[in-house]
Amino acid sequence: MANVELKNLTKKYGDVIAVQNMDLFIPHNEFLVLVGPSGCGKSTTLRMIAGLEEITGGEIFIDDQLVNEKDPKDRNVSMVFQNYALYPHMTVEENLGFSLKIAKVDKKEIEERVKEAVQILGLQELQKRKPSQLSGGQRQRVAMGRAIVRRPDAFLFDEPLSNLDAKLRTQMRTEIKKLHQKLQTTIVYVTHDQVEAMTLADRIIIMKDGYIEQIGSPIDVFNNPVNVFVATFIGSPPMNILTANIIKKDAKLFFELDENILMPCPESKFDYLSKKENVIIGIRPEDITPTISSNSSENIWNFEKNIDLVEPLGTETQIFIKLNNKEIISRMYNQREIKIGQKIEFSINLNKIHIFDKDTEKVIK
Amino acid sequence: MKQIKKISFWFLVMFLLILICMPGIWIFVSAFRPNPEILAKPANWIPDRWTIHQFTQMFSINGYVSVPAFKYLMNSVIISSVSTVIAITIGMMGGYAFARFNFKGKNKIFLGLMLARAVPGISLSLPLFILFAKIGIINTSFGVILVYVAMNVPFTIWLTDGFFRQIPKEMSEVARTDGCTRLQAFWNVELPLAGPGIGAAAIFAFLLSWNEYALASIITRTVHSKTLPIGMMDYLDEFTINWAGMCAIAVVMIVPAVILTFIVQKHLVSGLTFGGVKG
Amino acid sequence: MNRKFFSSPALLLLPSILAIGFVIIIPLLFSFYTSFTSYKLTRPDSLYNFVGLRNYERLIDNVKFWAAFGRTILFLAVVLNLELLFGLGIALLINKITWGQRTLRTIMMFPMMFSPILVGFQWKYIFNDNIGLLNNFLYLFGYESAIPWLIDKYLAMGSIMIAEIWANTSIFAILLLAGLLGIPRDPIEAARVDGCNSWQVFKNITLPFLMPFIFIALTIRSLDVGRAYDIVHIMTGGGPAMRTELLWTMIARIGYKDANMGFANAMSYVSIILSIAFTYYFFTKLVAARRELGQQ
Repeated sequence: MANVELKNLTKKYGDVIAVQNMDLFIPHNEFLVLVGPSGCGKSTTLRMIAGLEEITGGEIFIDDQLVNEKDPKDRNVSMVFQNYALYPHMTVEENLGFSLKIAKVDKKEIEERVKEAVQILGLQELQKRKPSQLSGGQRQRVAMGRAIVRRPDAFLFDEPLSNLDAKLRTQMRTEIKKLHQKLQTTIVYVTHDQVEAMTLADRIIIMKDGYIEQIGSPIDVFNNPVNVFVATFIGSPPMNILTANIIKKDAKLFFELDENILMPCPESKFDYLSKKENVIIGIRPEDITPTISSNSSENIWNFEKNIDLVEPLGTETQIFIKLNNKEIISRMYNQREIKIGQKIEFSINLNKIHIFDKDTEKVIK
Repeated sequence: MKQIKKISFWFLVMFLLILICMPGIWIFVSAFRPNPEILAKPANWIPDRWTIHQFTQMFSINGYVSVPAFKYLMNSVIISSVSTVIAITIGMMGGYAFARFNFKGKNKIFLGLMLARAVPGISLSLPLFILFAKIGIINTSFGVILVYVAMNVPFTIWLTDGFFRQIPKEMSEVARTDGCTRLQAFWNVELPLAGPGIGAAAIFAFLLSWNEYALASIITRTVHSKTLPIGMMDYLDEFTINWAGMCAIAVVMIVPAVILTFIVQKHLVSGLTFGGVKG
Repeated sequence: MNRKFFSSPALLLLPSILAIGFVIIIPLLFSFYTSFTSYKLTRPDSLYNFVGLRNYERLIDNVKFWAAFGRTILFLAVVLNLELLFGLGIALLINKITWGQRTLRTIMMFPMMFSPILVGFQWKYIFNDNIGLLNNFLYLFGYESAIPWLIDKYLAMGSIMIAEIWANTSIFAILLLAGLLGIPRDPIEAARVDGCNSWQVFKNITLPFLMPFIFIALTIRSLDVGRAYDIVHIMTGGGPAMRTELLWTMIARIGYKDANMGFANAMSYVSIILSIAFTYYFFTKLVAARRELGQQ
């Protein structure tokens, strides 16, 4: 039952910056996901909230209280670790009740709360077992149960699913989401997997090299990435990125996508683009598709290109072409027969292309 | 050909076993036979007459006791146990510090501690003797305990550092987010997990104190503080050695050592080698 | 208080450093000082009789000291190498045994539990020219003249070495066996498939894997080389006619029998530097061997 706030949070290891001037407010009951490549500072941030990592600068508030100087035990947060970190010398029951035992909670209440957690997570049959006798998924559940039992102000998850196989991961993902809805607490969740981030989060924070690149709802960061990094990090397969020269012709501006392939620039950006020689264009694979007769409208622009490779996946087919020597993926949702080497027409929805500055890699609004 | 190889292989193994065990067996057997028989030529392996004369002599409470072995045994037990408990406690703290923290000059301090252990006992005994005499703890159990603590600490650090490293540091972290202080996390989680290894380290420390001679021979002067290895010298006269008595006191020394080592031998090896596998 | 205490490596290490400081560092500083005086136990006031480097100069001129020094180096070189060799042999042998390996391993640790002083007495008895087990045994084969194992100058040195090797080979064997058991099977099988014979497999796969273990054993062992004093002290006392005198027995003789502390402490310093040099050398080798295997 608490919000978490970071003010100007900084962490340095010697001269190496792990987290730089981070400001963040996490309201009560939000499911916040920190995502980014390894070494971006997301785990460090989480560990600083937990109190496991000393803070170099800035402030952390939990439930509006400054916790900088507080021990992990006094912050009333629970953490679930990547390798679960179950106590190997205790049974499932003892693992679940350990934090309450340390807090000298009444024995009867410990029993009740353990029982409640066991029921929530479906661990009834396993109470007397030791961690070594559990499967990966079961261990994961016990680790979460241990956090639940404590009724913390906030849950901290550090890549909790990355040790599970793909199928189990999907299953546990839904369970975590359900759990959040049931418990109504603040969750800070760290992952490097953008699919997990998209599916779980109320709000996503994309981090890189210790900085926050973008904060927003999953749909927002997907639709409106602020820079090339976010654009390519969120979405699978990733957004196509290519550098294109800007060409003036008949008082109009065009992007040169390839030799003799000129895509019209959106008129709203003429002023800006006329000063530039080239820009970075980003197009999501689903926004560049083989032309279907029905999709011709004002904002659709078509071009022809030879196909390098075709990968049918059932629901969709991925088509690979080359533009400006960059490999471009196109997604097609109908099951049309296409051959490698064949020249076909593609359509691009001009409203959905992303334009980034060549030097700053920031989006051009 | 294969047969010959196999036979010679087992012959070699048996030969080794005999080489390793023979002296021990001889000591054990000789402790239970009358003195003249030890000197028999050719050697007599199975005593004609078994006797516990040497032991009753050693431990007799009534009448004349030539060698106060019981007192030595008690000194040994007290000095070895107390110094082991203290050495393990403070050595474990040091091992924990090396395993769990990064600090400036960590490797150098570690090496420094190990090198302190490499100082030969006899080189240390001269200055220690003078120092202890000056502050008046010469010929006291306290003085010997102090010395053994210092001698055992470096090696205990080496061993416990390895054992604590084998425990993922998340174990301690999760306990701390579960509401433990660092000390509680250590006590409830890390110590039980490292338990067997620490037991092995303790026995190693105990054996070193139990068997030490060079320093004790200088610091202990009388029955008041002499340990078994020093007491053994009582069987040594100017010109003769009471071999049977010596064998008996040797048995008193070896038996506890053997029992303790066998209990922990598995953990002992894993603790010693850990540094080589993972560093 | 608890929190701060358990969170500070400096405080955690403090008791260890205090104990070592009091028992090892302070005495060493003291003996370093006395090595510049003419201190004799019998004349306490001589503690303040500063003689500069005279004790060290006497050392440099002292033929007996250099003989003992050379003998110590020779002794360590022979003993450590043979222990390593025998230890490796025993480890390889036991590694081949599939049945009863644990029992064998335990028996192998037997000598480790013996007090060095006990080892000394035991071998003194075995090598005794008159009543010793060895001569007794040879007598059975018709060797009626008693061989003076501990009296002849060459035999005495050899006998001491045998005792030392008996006592300490097992630590090598145990650690190397642990190393052998930990070697992954894949590289060995791959080498076999690649056409290596047993010797080539040993040289190219097994030995590199064992290197860190060899250096661990050597490091641990070098911490204890000074304990050879006990064995020599009991078996020959440095005799006959100082033919088995090692640095350590010489220190004891000059320090306690002759009560010449200043001179003995100067010698102590040489022996300390020797021990530390051995340990330091093996320790750096250990670190390097680990790095080679990529096991930081």
